[in-house]
Amino acid sequence: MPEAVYADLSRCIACHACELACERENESAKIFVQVVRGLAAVPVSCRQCETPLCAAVCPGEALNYRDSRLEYDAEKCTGCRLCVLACPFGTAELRAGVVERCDLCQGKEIPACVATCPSGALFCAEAENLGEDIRTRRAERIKKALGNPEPAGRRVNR
Amino acid sequence: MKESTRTLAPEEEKCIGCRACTSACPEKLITFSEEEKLRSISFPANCSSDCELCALACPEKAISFIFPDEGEKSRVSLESQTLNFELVPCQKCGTAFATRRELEKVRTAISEKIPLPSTGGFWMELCPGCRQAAFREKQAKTIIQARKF
Repeated sequence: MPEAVYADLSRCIACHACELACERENESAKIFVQVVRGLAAVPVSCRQCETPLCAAVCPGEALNYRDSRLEYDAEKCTGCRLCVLACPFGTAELRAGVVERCDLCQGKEIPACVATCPSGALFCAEAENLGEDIRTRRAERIKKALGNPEPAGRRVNR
Repeated sequence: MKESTRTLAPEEEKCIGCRACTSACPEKLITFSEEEKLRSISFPANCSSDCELCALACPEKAISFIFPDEGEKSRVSLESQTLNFELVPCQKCGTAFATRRELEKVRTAISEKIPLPSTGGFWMELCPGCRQAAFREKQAKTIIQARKF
């Protein structure tokens, strides 16, 4: 199962820092935060589907799913926009003839949005470990709240 | 001489109106325009003789080239061609976002990968923006319920 950026919605404060971080890193934002009915902020980015429908419709083989990773070859892309029409989440976009979607900041240890998120809402995980990850995160938060406060300084996102 | 009179022949029955050719053409001779519920793609009658980029880009292989002196002169119109496509409106916001044939092609390609309900997957009826909104709404459901009280 491929990794994807998930959000703990109870922590997202709609500060849009992830969008800015993505823009800084990838020239244009590929994660979008919006507030639903004034009550919940939800960031949405590419879901890194296990069966990517965008790749299923690609006629030029520009989008390829290999080793549980979606690869994009801009040279082979013809700009037909069928991938944009296939994506169930509306997270693939075509800008200036190039398909843009989250690639988890390839080459970086953690995606820029996850590293930036000031409220610690975003995290990178595999879908299978999601439940376990959430449990660990919550437990650690409680442990932190019960123990001595950490000295001020750089906070580590998990 | 022979090459300069080459005609660009898009096949109306095959073309799905995806605009891949418009972005492929290096001379920007293939153009498209959108008005409310109609997308028109205009093909020039003639263009550079040794370029086949539009035909290569076409996902439906709908573009071919005809050389009039190959005995087909009578059948070939030497005027530019315009193909019109009716656009499907988004079920939620009403924006016309794709042609019927585009959606059909996507639907067939997807149904080979995952089983689709006979209606063809609810998201197919929505424009990309509304798909994202629908997903967001679904995700927010539980948290909104908790925060309402």
